[in-house]
Parts: sequence; C-alpha cells; structure tokens
Amino acid sequence: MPERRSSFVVWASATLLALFYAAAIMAPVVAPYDFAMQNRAFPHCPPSSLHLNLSGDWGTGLFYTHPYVLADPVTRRYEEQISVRVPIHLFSGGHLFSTLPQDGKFFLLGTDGLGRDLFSRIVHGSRVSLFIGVVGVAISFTIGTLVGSIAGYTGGWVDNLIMRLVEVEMSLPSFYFLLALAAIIPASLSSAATFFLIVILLSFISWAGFARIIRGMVSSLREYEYVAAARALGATRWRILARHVIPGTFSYTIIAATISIPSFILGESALSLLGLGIQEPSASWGNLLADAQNVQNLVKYPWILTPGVFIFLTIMSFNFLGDYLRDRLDPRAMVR
Amino acid sequence: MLSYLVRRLLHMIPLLIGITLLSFLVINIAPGDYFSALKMNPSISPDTIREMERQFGYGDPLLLRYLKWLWSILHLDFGISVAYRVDIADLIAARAVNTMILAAGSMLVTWSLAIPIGIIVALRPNSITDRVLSFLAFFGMSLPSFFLAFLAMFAALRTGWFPIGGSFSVYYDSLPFWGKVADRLYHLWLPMIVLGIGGMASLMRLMRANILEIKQADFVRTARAKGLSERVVVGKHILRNALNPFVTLAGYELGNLLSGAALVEAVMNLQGLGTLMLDAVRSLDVYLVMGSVLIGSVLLLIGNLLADLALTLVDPRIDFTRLESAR
Amino acid sequence: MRRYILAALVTSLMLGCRQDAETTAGTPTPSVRAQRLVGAMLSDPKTFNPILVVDSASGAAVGPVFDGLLRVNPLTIEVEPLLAEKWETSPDGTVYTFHLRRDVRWHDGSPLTAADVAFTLDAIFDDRVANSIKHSLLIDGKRIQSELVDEFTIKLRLPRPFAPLLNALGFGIIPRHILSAALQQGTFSQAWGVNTPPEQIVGTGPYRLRRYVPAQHLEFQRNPTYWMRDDAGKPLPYLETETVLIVPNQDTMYLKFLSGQVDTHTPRPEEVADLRAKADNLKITVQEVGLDTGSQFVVFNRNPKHYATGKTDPRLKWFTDRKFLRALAHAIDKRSMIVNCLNGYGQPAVAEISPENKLYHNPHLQDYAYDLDQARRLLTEGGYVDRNGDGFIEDPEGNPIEFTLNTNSGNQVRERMCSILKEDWTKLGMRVNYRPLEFTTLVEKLDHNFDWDAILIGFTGTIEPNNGANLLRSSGNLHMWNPNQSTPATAWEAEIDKLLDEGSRELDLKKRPQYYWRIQEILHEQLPMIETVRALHFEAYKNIVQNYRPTVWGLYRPELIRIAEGG
Repeated sequence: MPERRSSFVVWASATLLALFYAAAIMAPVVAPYDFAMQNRAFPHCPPSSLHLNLSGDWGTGLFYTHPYVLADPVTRRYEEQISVRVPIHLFSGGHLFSTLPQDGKFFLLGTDGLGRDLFSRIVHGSRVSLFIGVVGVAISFTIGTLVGSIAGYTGGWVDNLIMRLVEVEMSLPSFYFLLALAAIIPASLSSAATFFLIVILLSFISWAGFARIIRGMVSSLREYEYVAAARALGATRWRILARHVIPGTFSYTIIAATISIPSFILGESALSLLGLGIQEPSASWGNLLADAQNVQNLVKYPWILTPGVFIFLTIMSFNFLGDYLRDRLDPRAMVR
Repeated sequence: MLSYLVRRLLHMIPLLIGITLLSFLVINIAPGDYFSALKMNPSISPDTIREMERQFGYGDPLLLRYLKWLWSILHLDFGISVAYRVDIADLIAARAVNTMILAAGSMLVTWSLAIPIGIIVALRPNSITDRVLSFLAFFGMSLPSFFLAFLAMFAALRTGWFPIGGSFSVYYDSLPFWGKVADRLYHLWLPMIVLGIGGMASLMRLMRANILEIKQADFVRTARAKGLSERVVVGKHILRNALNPFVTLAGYELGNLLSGAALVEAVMNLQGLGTLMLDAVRSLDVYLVMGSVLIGSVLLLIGNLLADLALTLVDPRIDFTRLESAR
Repeated sequence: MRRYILAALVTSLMLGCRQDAETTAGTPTPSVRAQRLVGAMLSDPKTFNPILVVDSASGAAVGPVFDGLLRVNPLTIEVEPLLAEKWETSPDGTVYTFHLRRDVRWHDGSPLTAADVAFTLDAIFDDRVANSIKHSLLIDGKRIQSELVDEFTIKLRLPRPFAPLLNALGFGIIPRHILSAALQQGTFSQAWGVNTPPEQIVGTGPYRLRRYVPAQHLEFQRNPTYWMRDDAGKPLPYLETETVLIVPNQDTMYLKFLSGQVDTHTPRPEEVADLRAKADNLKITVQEVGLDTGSQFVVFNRNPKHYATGKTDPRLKWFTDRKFLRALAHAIDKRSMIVNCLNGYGQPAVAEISPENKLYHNPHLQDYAYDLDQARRLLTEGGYVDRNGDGFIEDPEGNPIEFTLNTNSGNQVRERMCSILKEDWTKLGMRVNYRPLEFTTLVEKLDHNFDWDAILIGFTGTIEPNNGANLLRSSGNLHMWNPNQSTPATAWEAEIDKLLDEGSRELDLKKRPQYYWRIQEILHEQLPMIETVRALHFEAYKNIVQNYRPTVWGLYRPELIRIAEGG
C-alpha cells in the first residue's frame, strides 16, 4: 500500500467492523426472524424485492414487499404476487425491521433449502464467526506470549525444550492436523461446547509461530539496561517480565493479533464448510456456505454465496486495519 | 554444508515420530472405526466383520499398533487402506502427484504475476497504477481461497469453458505421455489460478517494498552515476538483490500450499492429497491417515530445509551457524 | 526462442491426439465409440472375488463377469434360469435338483460342471471365509448340503423347507480348477483382490475384466464364447466393451454426463428437473424408474441396557407408550419433506416394505395424517401435559419430555428431514435436541453402547423379505430398538418371530405374502419404527443407448444393450 494511505479506507474498515460486531451482539434484534425458523413452503426462495411507499398512505408503512408463491415445487420456480403488499415495519416487535406473520415474509437475502431466512442466519452466524476470531486470538496469543517470554528470558534448557515443542508444532501440516482433530469432536455436543472446542483447536495449531517471535524479542529486550537495573534492585523474574519486558512486545502483538484474526475466521469457516465445525441447525458463515458446495444449487440460487461476501469484507477490513497499525506503530516490522 | 544437511535430516526423525505419534493418538480417540459403516448393512454378518478387523490388526493394544506401524514404515511399507483395499503407498503417490502439480503450478502463477507487477508498481510509486494495483492486490489477499473457488465453479458451470472437477478425462489412460500432461493441465489450470491469486498479493507487496528500499541504496546510485542504462540498473542490480528473500520463500510456500490446496481441492472436486486426508479422517481409516500425515509433514520439512539451504546459497553473508542459532 | 517452444508444444499435442484415436478403438472401425457403453460409479471396488463382495462398487465390478445358477427378472420379480436350465423340487421341499446347461465355458475355455457349483457352496460355508452370502443361506444355523448326481446335475439338501432359497441363488459361481487350492490352503480370503491381473479373473459371465486402473476406471470386454443368444440366434452380449468410470463426487458425475463423457446417469432429485428441461438438446431420455425399495424411518430406543437406572428411566416408558408414538407419527410433515428434501419427487411411506415389492407390500395400511391437533390430543390423553406452566410438557410423573434425535451427518436429505421433525415435535411442547453424527459414531451407538434416544436412518430393501430378518427378528443384531434379545420382550415381537419362521417355510407364493403383510401391520400399529417418505428414483441415458431398461431392482437383461448405428 502507498505510504500515505487514504485514511478513508481505514475509517471505512473500522466502521464496517464495528457495525458487524454490533450486529452480532444484538443479533436477535437485527435479524427479523429466528435463525432456525423454517418456512417449508419457500425452499430456496429468491431475495424479496424492496419498494418505497410514496403514496402517502402510511397505513402500509414506508417500505413494503411483494410475497412470492411457489409455482412449481419440482423446478423451484417462484412467482411474485404484485397485487399483494406486505408492509415492512421498522423498529417494532423488538426487531430492527420485520413483518407481521399474517402478512407474509420479507427475505432480504433469500432462503435456503428449508426456507430459512438467509439474512437472519447470517446475522446469527456472525456471532460465531466474528467472535471465534477474537477469542481464538486472545487465547493463542496469551499462550504464545507466556511461553515465548519464559523461553526467551530463561534461556538454557528451558528455552531449548520449548523451542523443540515449537518446532514440532510448526512442522505439523496444520490443515491436515486440524481435520484429524476436528473429526474427533463429538457432533453430539451443544453448539456452545463445539464453539469452544473449535477455538481451542485453532489456537492449538497457531500459537507456536508467535511464541517464537516473542522469544526472540524477549531475549534481546533482556539485555537492556533497565532490566539489569531492575534485577539489581532485587525484582523477581516474574515482576521483571510482567512490568518491563512483556510490555515491550505489545506493539508487535497488537499488529500481529489484528492480522491473525482473519486466519481464525478462515479456519472456522473451512471446518464448518467441510462439515466438521459448527453443526446444524446452528449457523456460522462457514456452514452456511456448505449449501454452495452443490454446484447445481450455486448456479440456480446464487444468493447462497452471500455469507462468503461477508467473510471477505470482514477479512479485508482486518487486513486494512492491521496494515495501518503496522505503519503507525512499527514501520520496520518484520514480515510475518 | 554436508554436515549441516546430515544434521538437519537426522533432526527430522524425532520430529516426524512426534508428529505421527500425536496423530495416531488423536485419530484413535475418535469413537468407532472404519468397520462401523459395514455393521449397518443387514446382509453383512458380524463374523465377517470380526474377521476383517482381525485381518487389519485392530485387536492389538494401542502402543503396539503404533510401533508395528512404525516398523513397517521403516521398511517403506505403508500398509493397506481399509477403505480402498489397495496399498496406501500407491494411493498416496497417485494423489500426491496431483497435489504437487497443483502446488507447483499455482506457485508459478503467483510468481509470474507478482514479480512483474511488483516491479511495475515499485518503479512508479504512488501513481494511479500503483494505487489501483495495490488495492487489487489487497483485494486478492483478503479473498478466501474457497470463496474464489466457488466463484470459479460458478463461472465454469455457467460458461462451460472449463472442466469442473476430476483430474483427468475418460481416455486419459490411453494417452501418450504428452497427452497425459496436457490433460492434467487442462483439468488443473483453473484451480491453479484460484490458489495462485491468494498468494500473489502479499508477494507483490513484498517485492514492491524490497525494490523501493534497494532503490535508495548506495550501489544503485553508483551504478547510475557510472552511466549504465536504466534497464541494466533495474535488471542487473536492483532485481538481483530484491529477489534474494524470495528464494527462501519458495520453500516455505511449498509447505503452506499443501494446506491451502486441501480446501480448494475439496471445493473443486479434485483428487489430491488433501481430499484423501479428508476422506481418510471421515471414515477413520487409521493407516491412511497416518500415511498422509507422514507424507504431509515430510514435504513440509523438506520445503523448510530447501528454503534454508537456498538462503545460504543465495546470500553468502548468512552462514550455517547463524541459521542454527536463529532456529 | 519462445516461438520454437510454442511450436514444439503444439506439435507434440497434435501428435498425442492422433495416437489417441488409434489406441482407443479396439476394432478397426473409424469411429472411436463403436459398441461401447460408459457408465460411472462413486467408489473403487474392494475385491474381484464374488464371494467376498460386501459393497456396491465391488458388486458392479464382478456382476458382468460372473453368472449364478438363477437370476431374478426385475420386471416380473420371478426367478429365471441362468446357468441352471431347469430344476425340480421334492414334494416336501427339502431337496432341489438343478440341471446345468451343458454349453457353458469358463473364460479360460474349461467347461462349467456341477463340481464348480459344489465348490462355490463349500467356499461360502467355509468357516475361514468371512462373507455375507452365507448368512442368507444358513437355515436355522445349518448349511445346505450338496450332492453331485452327474457332471451337470447337482442336488441341494436343506434341513427344512426354505422359501427364500431360489432368490438367494444369484451369487456368482467360481471356478474350482483355479481357486480350490486357495480354499484348501486357507488363503481364499486374499484371493482375487484388486491387485490381481485382470486376465486371472475367470468367470462364466457375458464380459471379461479387461482392465482396472485404480481411481480411474474399470474396463470390461465382451466374452466371445458366451452361450446366450438373442431371438434371432445372434450371440450376446451386443456391446464390445463396457467402461465404468470411478468418479468420487456426485457433482462431477453429473457434469460428466452433461458433457457427454458418460452415457448413463442416476440423477439426484435436484438434477431431474434440469435434465428434463435439457433432454431434447442433450438427446437424452429421463425415465422415472420407481420408488425407493427400502425405507427411511425414525426408531426409538427401547433397550433396557441403555437406561442406567434400569426400567425406571422415564424415556423407556415414553418410547414404549403407543399413544406417545402415535402422537409423534401424526406430527410428521411428510408433504414438506417431499417438497423440501426430495425436490417434490417422492411419496409418503406407510408400510415397511416398499410398494415396489408388489408381492409382499401391504397396501391396506392407513397412514397417520399430519395433524398437530390430533397429536396434541393423544398426548393429553396419555397424560403428557404442561404441569408446571413452563410451556413444555411433562409426563404423568412430572419428568419433562426431552430427548435427542440423531442421524448421519453428510446426508443432506436426512439432515433436512431431521430439522423438520425437530421443529414440528417442538411445537407439541417437547424438547428435541437434534445432533447429526458421523456415521461411524452412529453405528457405534447402535451397536455397542446403546447410548441414543431416537435415530433417523434408512435401510435398503430386497425382493426377498426374509433378507430383513436381522432387523425384524427379536434376536437379530440389527433389531435396532432392542437388539439381541434372548427371548422376545413383547408379545408382538414374539408374533413377528413366529411369522418370519412360518413365512420362510411357506413355499406357496399365494399364501406366503400373508405372513409378511401381518408383520407390516404389527409394525404399523406398535410403531417401533415410524416410516417417513420414500424417494422417487430416475435414470437418465443417451438416446443412442438402446434396450437400456432400468428398474428399481436392477437392469432388465443388460446383455441386450447396444448403441444405435451412427452413434
């Protein structure tokens, strides 16, 4: 990226991410329907049309849509009923926007094979996909910092042992190992338990690279005068680490964390896509894309690819942010 | 140099044992085994199944089975896959070829795009070209490989221009050697592009950063002062130095591609090492899983080794002792 | 420089292509296709030994190469002679005399004799040979004895009359002069594995195995000395070669069919409408073949072993309470399952035996209509009401109604069906936890630890109803709701055991169906398994493929298939 990056892009990314995370936290409000609610008469219904009501007749609300009717179940062909209007209510019933059950449904992004509103599922699924990144990075970087600091500061056989472990971990073909680990997650767990297990798995295969770099940083920071001074003053090893050495690694950590969140999101998406992660009927952006693996569905109902667009936007925003942080905090940063 | 090489190779052995032992333990924690599927078939009697289990050595205790497997690996006997009933070595070899072609091809795509583009934008920093191309690079870097794969499949089905899935066509077996090569490439070129684009962006940015840094260097100014043409300055002096780090990256990239390829393989229906691993894990075909993990680790480690070796060859300032301490 | 490389590449490609045309045609005709059929299957075969076959891919590999004594005509569902020309039955039904054709030759030229049939039976019943054919031929645990009358006549002696016998005699006969040594030495189970050179696989069938390239294809070549002739006296089969591609992915299979690389295809429900629309363009025929021959059902665990606290676990009470089960049956939205999971191609399933099995299917059973109010009424009658006002129902003792529903993950149709079941049963006030499981885990639960509540699963069907004995018999290992019983736990299970016994003895085809009708009736009343829906199957094939007649039970007379001239 050019040195003087347009701050517009960075601000846009930060805003987008804030929006996504806010929507995730308030999912039941932002989503018009429950993520598991099936509308069996509308399998793979296309996205509903949105119309502005300029007639001044406020009884039917500012926005409205037309309902679809399944004309042919075999070819899944729908017909739009132009004569009927379904009013869309804003800020009512505890939802950002919704429709009354007796009026009909508004599928902003269409439906899946069981007639479930894709937009609602994307919003609920964002909780899993977005927070796996944050939680995963938190866990893996904590482990990495601890392990790396201890190794770098102590040196000697402790350092050696830890570096061997790090080497084993880095030599694992990570994706293959992830598959093997994911296969042993009992699918009978609740979705919360599955979420945590997946986070732990992803952290398990990614802490080592970070630990190695922290170790390098710590072992050079160790030689600084203020550390020697602290030791002369009688500070314990832990105090030195916590108050003096580790904070020196923070700038790098923040950058690395921001840049690593996408890989956690991708890891979870990949697992769920392959059917090894979050299970139905819970939603995550990855398992929503599993429907797209059937190429026929992909061509006939292209809206099922939308979760992928959300993943892409999230990753791009994190990348922009990370890049910006790197330029500001550490212009000579090592390429990861 | 030779002693370093030997030391590194010896070093790989405990590493591989650690990895395979870990995988073995992990895969055996999973409940059930390959024969569970057979048990569901009403026309297969329990005796049949018990006999088959015995044939594949499922009765022994865990550690014994691992040691038996290790022993046979040392004789280069990978065992027989329970699911496919053929030699695992044959199975892996066939699939690994596909994955290697895919990895090599995508690396070619990545490099042949990233380096020229990197050079172009580096020679005109902050121009419109630079901004646009850099943004596109960023775009490509953020696009998940599987998403791009979906888009590619979508395009392929809509236009009918590319084959979708499969690694070779009906008459592959009867084609002569060059025909076979062409056939494979025909089936793999779309996945190669999909995989290649992902890696292209970061490489391009690296190239750009490197060249910009070198442009300020003294020896470049000297070369210009000597009156050499711009072409020579760029081609001979700047590029040679800028390319140094990339040689090592090739090795690391090989390892990463193994993982990245697996997901693209799954989405685009290719028969590679990744999909083999996926099937093996799903059906709990223990020895197949072990064989795949072993090969995957070996490839990764060799890639790293080659990368380190290349680094020393290319940059004489780095010697082996420095490499060792950096590890 | 670049120009030369390009030229070299193009030239070699062109050379490569020309050679291709010459090497692929087996006959001197200029057209590459000639009489050649290309099909596809999902996985590799695991063995070429017809006795050891347990999966469909291996079955497809050995099917064209080996013939059995008899075969079932899939259109009439009657047994027809094949290697045996005619047979007689003794009046008491325990002795069958088979007369073999005299003009049959093994692929290596030797004549087929009765000794080969006797040898095949010996191999099947041998203790050292693990195979699945044996258990459909064991009668009360005893083997069938064979007696050679002369070179072409063999007698089979049964311990008692056994109606399923003729249907069970379709297995391929193997050559004694090649495999008897292996059987004697105890290496039969390793004989004729997939690494065996194809020319060593010797059968009497219409095709020989010509080539097997793992993960790519199987190739069969016409047997020039095959005995069967068409009505005009011309030798069969018509096809010169048959190729079966191995394509592990269903999407790829479909695309290969669309692009013309494959001649026949079994479309999934979502592909059918698409194919029908394109039928004229692609010059193909899309044929409706019939309903699923098996069934998909929800089964509830009644095994006392599952319940740690013995018979006091409330779930055991619910799952054996007919009112509870009938309420659940009335809450199965079969219509939606057909629309959402089967793309509209299917029928509600009522009887355990498929309507395609015209002889044994019981058509008189009344389905449980999808009626949530009726379901709620039944639950209230049974004492399952909301006692504490939390919105969920409890049983008469106050236990909240909660259970887990499983199915095998990866099967999209079943997963969707479970989502529908969960939602509807939740509307009745129960808590249903739906968890898809890896198939191996599912089987582990069904087989070993019995740690499950309700499972949606499917079984394939066969023409011979006795082949489902493992499931229906109370002592059967696949009697899922309560397997391996030493004595029947309920009166109706005892009755089913008795009916199975009598049904297998009854040789009169006019009387035999009654027993199985009554079994279906009992299952429908007692609901240990609740039927859901049956899918409609289709076959698609190119118009130039003539005499291609698929049925739900298999192809009718595949030796008559040929490619139209000019194809």
